[in-house]
Amino acid sequence: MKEETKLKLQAYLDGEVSNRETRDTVDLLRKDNEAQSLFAELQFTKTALRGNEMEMKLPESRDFYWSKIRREIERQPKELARSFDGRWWKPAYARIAAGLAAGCALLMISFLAFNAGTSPSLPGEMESTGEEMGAITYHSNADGMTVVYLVDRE
Amino acid sequence: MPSQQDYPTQADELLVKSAKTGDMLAFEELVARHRDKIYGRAFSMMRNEDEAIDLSQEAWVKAWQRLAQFQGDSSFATWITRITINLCLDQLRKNKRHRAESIEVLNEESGGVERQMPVVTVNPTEGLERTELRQRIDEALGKLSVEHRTVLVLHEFEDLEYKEIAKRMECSIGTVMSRLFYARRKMAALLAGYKRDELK
Repeated sequence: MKEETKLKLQAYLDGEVSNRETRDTVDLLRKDNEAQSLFAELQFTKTALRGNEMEMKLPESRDFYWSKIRREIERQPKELARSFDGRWWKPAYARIAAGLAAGCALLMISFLAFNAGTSPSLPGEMESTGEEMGAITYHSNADGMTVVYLVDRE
Repeated sequence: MPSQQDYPTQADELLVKSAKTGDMLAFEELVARHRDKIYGRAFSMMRNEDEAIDLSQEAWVKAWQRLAQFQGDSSFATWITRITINLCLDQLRKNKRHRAESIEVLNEESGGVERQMPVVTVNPTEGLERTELRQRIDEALGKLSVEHRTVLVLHEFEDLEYKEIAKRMECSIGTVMSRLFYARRKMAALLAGYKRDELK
């Protein structure tokens, strides 16, 4: 018997053939003894297996089995947070911080340049007006340097 | 929301609904209810106790993470079983990569020795008690190759069609048909072997 015919017999048993193939297979089974024997063998194997799977019992207690699942579930969000922190957050934070620092430096330089040319009494020196903390900045064009003093007003 | 004492009497659907809102106690009840079945499916595919426990637990974790995707098109038990099967198939593929390509493996589709096996003409399972039959089927399954056993489990126990099995096993329908055919033939021979041993 051809390999293809054997597989057709099986497909017929499993209800996976077209109407035309069904007619051909029924015809073959009527005439061919070898096909009948093979079909019978396939059929009893299928019947024996159906609904006769061994019922297994988990070899661990309910609490022990569940505790491992719960631990893993609880661990997952933390892992996500870590990967978020490590892969995305840190470089982004660094980029933002660098941007802010550059912006502040630019503002400071512009302000100092403007202030150096306009202040009549203390050229190159200015004082902030915060209530608790003050800052005095000294800038010297000649020396090319800026010094910032922080002053506690309390 | 039901109280904790109510969980054992709640239907799966209600427990799933509670679990979807983050109720872990409801999910624990689902695990307790289906753990044997899920472990059993993993064991039938892996034939290794430790792997079966690990994969079944992984399936539960995945189920918790994907609960929102469960729309109730099938039963919860079917859904979690499918997750388990997919995890087992992934693991079997990983294991196969480490396995040497023996003649036995190469013969999976073409039949190998099963080609020469005479047809078993007497039903070897006739007259057996159900428990005994199950025991013998399990022993015989343990003697099959991974590919043969997997296709039998998916077709006979999970009731999947050829097309669905092919998709899950990442092979052609023709391969599924061939594997199933020789798996059945080998199974018949193994079961007949037990019968012959009894008659000796």
